[in-house]
Amino acid sequence: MQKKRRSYTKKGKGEENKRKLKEKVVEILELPKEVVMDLPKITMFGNRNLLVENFKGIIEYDDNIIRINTGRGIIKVSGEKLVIKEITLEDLMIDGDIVSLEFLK
Amino acid sequence: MLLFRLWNYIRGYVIIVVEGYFLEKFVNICTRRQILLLDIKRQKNSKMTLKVSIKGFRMLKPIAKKTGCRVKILKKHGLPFLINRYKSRKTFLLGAALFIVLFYIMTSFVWTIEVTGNKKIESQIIIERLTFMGVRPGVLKYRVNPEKIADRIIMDVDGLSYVNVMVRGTKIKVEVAEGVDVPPMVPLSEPCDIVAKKDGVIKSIIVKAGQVAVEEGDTVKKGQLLVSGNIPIKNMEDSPRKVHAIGRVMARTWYETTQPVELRVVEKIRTGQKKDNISLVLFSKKIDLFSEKVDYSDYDRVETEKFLSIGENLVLPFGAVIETYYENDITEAEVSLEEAKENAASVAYRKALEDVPEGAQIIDRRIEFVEGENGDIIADVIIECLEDIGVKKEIER
Repeated sequence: MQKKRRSYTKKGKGEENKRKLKEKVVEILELPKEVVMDLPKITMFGNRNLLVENFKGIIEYDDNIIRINTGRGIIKVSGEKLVIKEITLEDLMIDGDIVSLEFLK
Repeated sequence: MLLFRLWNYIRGYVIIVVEGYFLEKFVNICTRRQILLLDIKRQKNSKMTLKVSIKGFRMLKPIAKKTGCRVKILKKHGLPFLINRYKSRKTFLLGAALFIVLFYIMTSFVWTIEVTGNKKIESQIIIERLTFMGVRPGVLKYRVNPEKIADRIIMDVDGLSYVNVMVRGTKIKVEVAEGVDVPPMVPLSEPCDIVAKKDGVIKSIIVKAGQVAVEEGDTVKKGQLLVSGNIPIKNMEDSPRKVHAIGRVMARTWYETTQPVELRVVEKIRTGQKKDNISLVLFSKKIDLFSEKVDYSDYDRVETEKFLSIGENLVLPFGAVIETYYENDITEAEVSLEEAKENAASVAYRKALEDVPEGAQIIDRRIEFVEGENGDIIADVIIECLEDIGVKKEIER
């Protein structure tokens, strides 16, 4: 058991290193991060409009809360009268009075 | 964004209600299967409304089954549904198609010819030339070669300096400009006199060639010699030098007319009764529609022609001619002496003006009322003019 767990941590550590290396390479080469590192790109127009690119799917959808699954954790958007204006494989547009935007691990 | 909405309208979309417990899952599967979802609104009671394209809607069924959701159509929008509705109405479609075809055929003919810019030359002459060339209402407008026609008109009709022919809609527009007339040549080699063409009192004489025969202030009669073309030479009285007399002889002339003053005036008053005779015009053929006999004893006839046209240029060969007959009531009315005098004076003045030639300058007018033998009053109008009374008369050699 212990051995196994250690191997897990080792793997995690290896991945962590790999990620840091990748981040550095991306920074040096000035590549678009959302493509190379699979990060969500979030664009906001005031508090009325939110555009999320490169997401995985929605977890929860309600009038007041929308939780979006991305490659790196979950984005939680809360507000009032939230409407998904458009949803495709690449991007997701939310309209409404957005109050807060949180990143959950 | 408008373009986007227009595109959506052309493609067609449906607003649907999805009901179920795994709505998020439903949305996720839709996105993964490349179905575009728009305007997702979450309702209470585990419901949501959304817009989806027709193509997308067809792919929803298996997804709904998988997630245990129920899909119901709320509204259909867009062109495909509209077309679908009219698909079964064959006659309507046929009519629409027939309309377009007929419209195209009708607008490919020339229906009217319009001549503009002419002042002296009558439009009828130009239109007759066009007819002669085969350009007349009812001819295919694609057969008309505007440049060739313009060339031929300018050659055939005298006095034109510019012709432009345009085909606009179903109308042929002929724009012309008239040239300035060449002043007539003065035949200096032909000797002539200047004689008076009417009675008058000489005001001034300007002579360029010839011998003056009258003086200022002389009263001349019609046909009297004013400027002579025979210039006497000293010691050779028998054979004077003969010239072509040129000069301006301004004289005062009078024009007089009379008009009896009538105290009783015949008045025409429209009774308000009228009749319309309507006839249809189809391809320059007249068809009487409502033609009644007019049994008014006295009437005015007003004819109005109306043609169906789309805009100014697209005149169609359908029209109507409306002949309106207004019944007149003839009554005799007494007028006051003042008014009667005024009426007579204006009538007399108008009559006198007709005699005054063009170019004459009116310097005075007088109105007198003379009592006649039977006690009736006559208005006498005299217009005094200043005009050139000289006219050329050839000298016999």
